Amino acid sequence: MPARSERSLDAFLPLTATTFHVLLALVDEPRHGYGIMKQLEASSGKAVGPGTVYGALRRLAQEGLVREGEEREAERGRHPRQLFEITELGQQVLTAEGGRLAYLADLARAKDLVPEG
Amino acid sequence: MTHHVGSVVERASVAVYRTLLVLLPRPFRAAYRNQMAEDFRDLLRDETTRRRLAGWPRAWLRGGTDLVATAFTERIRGGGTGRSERSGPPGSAGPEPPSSMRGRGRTTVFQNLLADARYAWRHLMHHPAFAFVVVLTLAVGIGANTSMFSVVNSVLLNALPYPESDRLATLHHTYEKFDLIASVSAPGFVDYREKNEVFEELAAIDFGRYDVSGDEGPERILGAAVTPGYFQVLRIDAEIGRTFLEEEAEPGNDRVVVLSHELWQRRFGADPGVVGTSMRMGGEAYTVVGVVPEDLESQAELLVPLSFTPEELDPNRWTNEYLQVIGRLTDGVSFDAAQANADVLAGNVREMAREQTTFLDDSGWNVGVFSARDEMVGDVETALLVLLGAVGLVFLIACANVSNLFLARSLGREREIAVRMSMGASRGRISSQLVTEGVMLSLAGGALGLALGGSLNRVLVRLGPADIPRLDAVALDGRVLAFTAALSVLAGVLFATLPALQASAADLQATLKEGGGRGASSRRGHRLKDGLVVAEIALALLLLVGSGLMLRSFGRIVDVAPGFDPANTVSFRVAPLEIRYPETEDVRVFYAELLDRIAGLPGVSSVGAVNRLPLAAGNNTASFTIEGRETGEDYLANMRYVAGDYFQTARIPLLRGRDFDATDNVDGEPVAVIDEEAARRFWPGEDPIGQRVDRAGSRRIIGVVGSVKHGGLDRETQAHMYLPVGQLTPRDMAVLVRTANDFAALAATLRTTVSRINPDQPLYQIQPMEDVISASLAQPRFNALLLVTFAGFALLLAAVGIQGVLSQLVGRRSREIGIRMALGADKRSVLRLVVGRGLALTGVGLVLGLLASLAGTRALASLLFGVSPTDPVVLVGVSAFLLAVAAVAAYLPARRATRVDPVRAMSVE
Repeated sequence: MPARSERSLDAFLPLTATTFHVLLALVDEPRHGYGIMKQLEASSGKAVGPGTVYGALRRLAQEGLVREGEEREAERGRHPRQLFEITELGQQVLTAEGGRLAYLADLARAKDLVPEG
Repeated sequence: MTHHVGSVVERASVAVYRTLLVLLPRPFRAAYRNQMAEDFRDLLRDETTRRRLAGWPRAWLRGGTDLVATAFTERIRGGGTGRSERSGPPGSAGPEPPSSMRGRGRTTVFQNLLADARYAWRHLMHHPAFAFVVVLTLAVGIGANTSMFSVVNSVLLNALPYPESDRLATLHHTYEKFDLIASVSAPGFVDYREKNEVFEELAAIDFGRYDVSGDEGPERILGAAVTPGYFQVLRIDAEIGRTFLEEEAEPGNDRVVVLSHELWQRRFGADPGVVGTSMRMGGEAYTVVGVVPEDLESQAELLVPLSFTPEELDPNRWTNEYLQVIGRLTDGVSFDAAQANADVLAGNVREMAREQTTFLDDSGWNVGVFSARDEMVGDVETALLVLLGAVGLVFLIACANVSNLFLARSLGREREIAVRMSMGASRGRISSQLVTEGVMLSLAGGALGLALGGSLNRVLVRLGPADIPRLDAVALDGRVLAFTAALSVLAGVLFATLPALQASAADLQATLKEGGGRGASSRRGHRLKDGLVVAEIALALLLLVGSGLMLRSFGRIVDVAPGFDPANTVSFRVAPLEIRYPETEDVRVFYAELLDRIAGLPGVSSVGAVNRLPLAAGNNTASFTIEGRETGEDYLANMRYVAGDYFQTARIPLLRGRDFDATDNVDGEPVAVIDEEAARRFWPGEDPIGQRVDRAGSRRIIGVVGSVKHGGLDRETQAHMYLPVGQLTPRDMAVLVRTANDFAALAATLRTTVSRINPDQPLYQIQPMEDVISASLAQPRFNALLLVTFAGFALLLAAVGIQGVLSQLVGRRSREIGIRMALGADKRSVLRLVVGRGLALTGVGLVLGLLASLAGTRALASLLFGVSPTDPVVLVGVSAFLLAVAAVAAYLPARRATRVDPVRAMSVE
């Protein structure tokens, strides 16, 4: 897939909170659904279930921001776990969203709206 | 143990969760089903590791509600690309404001629903205790219903697991005069099969025990000889090999055998090469031709062809009935039409027979066509439907309780709702939002209930009496899942609708001004709560009356004297091998030697044998005439053949005359002993001793013994006639041993004793006689136990309901109570106020419940023994009990009311 221009990256923004946190969870390493769920809980403070996670993953996969990686063998009697990884496009979109959020934060800071901490 | 239970609940939970995934759109489900189930399992494990028991509902609340919410979202997107997601303002992905607070935008029903679901989810997560109690209450109600329905589904709805089973019929010879439904004779079967015009195919079955020998050791196996049409009637195909050919039903060609799947696995290790091999039965070689599948319903483990010799088909044997006959009606023929056809054919038979005997005419002989399903489930149908009804009442009570919780909460939320309405939310939107909350909770309750139902099923199967057909096949199949899903949604709508209507009827201005809680609508709400409590009490009383009646009836049955003393006796069955003991005399010698050896065992005080033990399954009846009676009437009695000291061993008292002794053999005079019931029925006001009857030859009555129960303690006492084995010798007997010895040790000794006589001779059904009685009580015990359990649930829920309503009453009126106490009211009068209120509600509920009982318990009548459905002891006792429980439930909040501090109560607000 050819790299996209800045302009076309904008078409993905803004990200919803859930998709943002899901992408964030995949930056360090590929994870399976439950791993993403736990990261999501840690980074957003929101306790979601598998439905929300796979709903987000399905849309992100359709848009080419994540892809299915390898399958990891699980203990006996259980299904192998599907790992998901962030694509290059996903990285770019996440960076663009980070920039957008930073810009918004700067605006707020200029008006003294961000408590320093 | 806990670990084991945990893993069972985990497996059940994951299975339920997987099932609920059908809510998702198909492509979504196909892509992530396995992964989501595994994630849910991880979630369960994490939560239960962290929070133990509280982890289960938390995981379910999180996983289940999230699933429902996702299902809504995904279905609205319609599997689209999700572009619409980004149409909102930045940051809109956080929880949305409740739809009821939004303006009149172009929102669709689905979007509303989605918003409602999200709002409800958020709200419930903030009130986990409330959500937990609601889900748990519903899980109990729905779980009990799921379990009971799966029993009904398996036993009644899937009674006969064969294709087009509604066309399956059983055929019987019937004797109107004796009120007897008998089996069918060989000539009767062959004649009917030839002449009838209504059956596609008919088959005769002759159950028997077969002595199988070989490398695996001797074994006595229940089998059946069947005519080849058997497989066409039931539409069974062989899973390996073939079934019987038409020519194999001829004497000489019939040394072939078809194995049941079970026997094939058990004895032949599921070896597919078994077809074509030889198997020794009763000392003869049979060729195995096939294996039939597992779901073969008859208990027979092996099948051989049933053939008839010309002698067996002799018309003189027309009433020698020993065959079970099943048939498949031709498509489109009703049972009534089939019976009409049978009436005509039987009429022809009676006419033909008239030249030789008028017995068929005199006895009202006929051929009866019955629905196979009705015959199978007839006895248990009423009981199961009553139990299903009872568990339905538990469900309604659970819904009433949850409604009350919802009402209490919606009264507390009046202000919030008023604010929302003042900002433009319609009543409809607010109601639908509350109903969505309800349905979400009830779906979670349903999911948990399904898991609970699965576990209850296992308990039911263990407790259930052996004579409920197909109880072991109980499972959570598609129909049960649909039932539970429907029940869950129904529950949500039921318990959320009333409060929703009530809440949305709030009087805006008044509520906003007053601060909520005391408006006209809240008064209406409290009345509604009172009404629900009254309904709960009425329903609980109905259940308590039902279970009280069943308990009392069970007590009556247990009190029935069986006519013999089962304590300290052990019984087993033995059938001397035909190959080893071909002649009647050999059999007689075998019995004599066996009883003799057993009598000599240490600890054995007496021993005897009989062909049918009292209260055991099966029966032998026969007709006889009384000599010297001019009418030549036929009488019917249970026939028993006895050997050894049977009466003494069973402690059946000898009332008159003498017991059999060694002289009552083939060389002696033919004799019989009758029981008290036979004497009463057949020789009223006469002395039966010395009378002669014609049964297998003319014989003299020498004694009268006490009556014993047969077929069940709750059955009418039947007449018995006893004949000595020395004169008439059956090939299969039950030996009864009276002993003080431990059962296990004696069982081993008995086996050794039999094998000393003949090492190949099997014995079977070895058990303490008390187990036989216990088995005969299984059905009424099962009914009583389940009804009592359901009534216990109902009572508990109703008590919680009363307690809850009164607690709220105390909370609401604490100000008033404070003032009263400040003005000098003592604690007693405050107690009276609150408890009185509780008892008033209970009283109204009791009256309604009693009225309902009078109408409702009639359904129980056929299940009761010795108790009237309107038994005053039960009605009064149960009402008093419920009143007492209600008083205790009311006392707790009342005591709290007496501790109200007048100063604080008045300064509130």
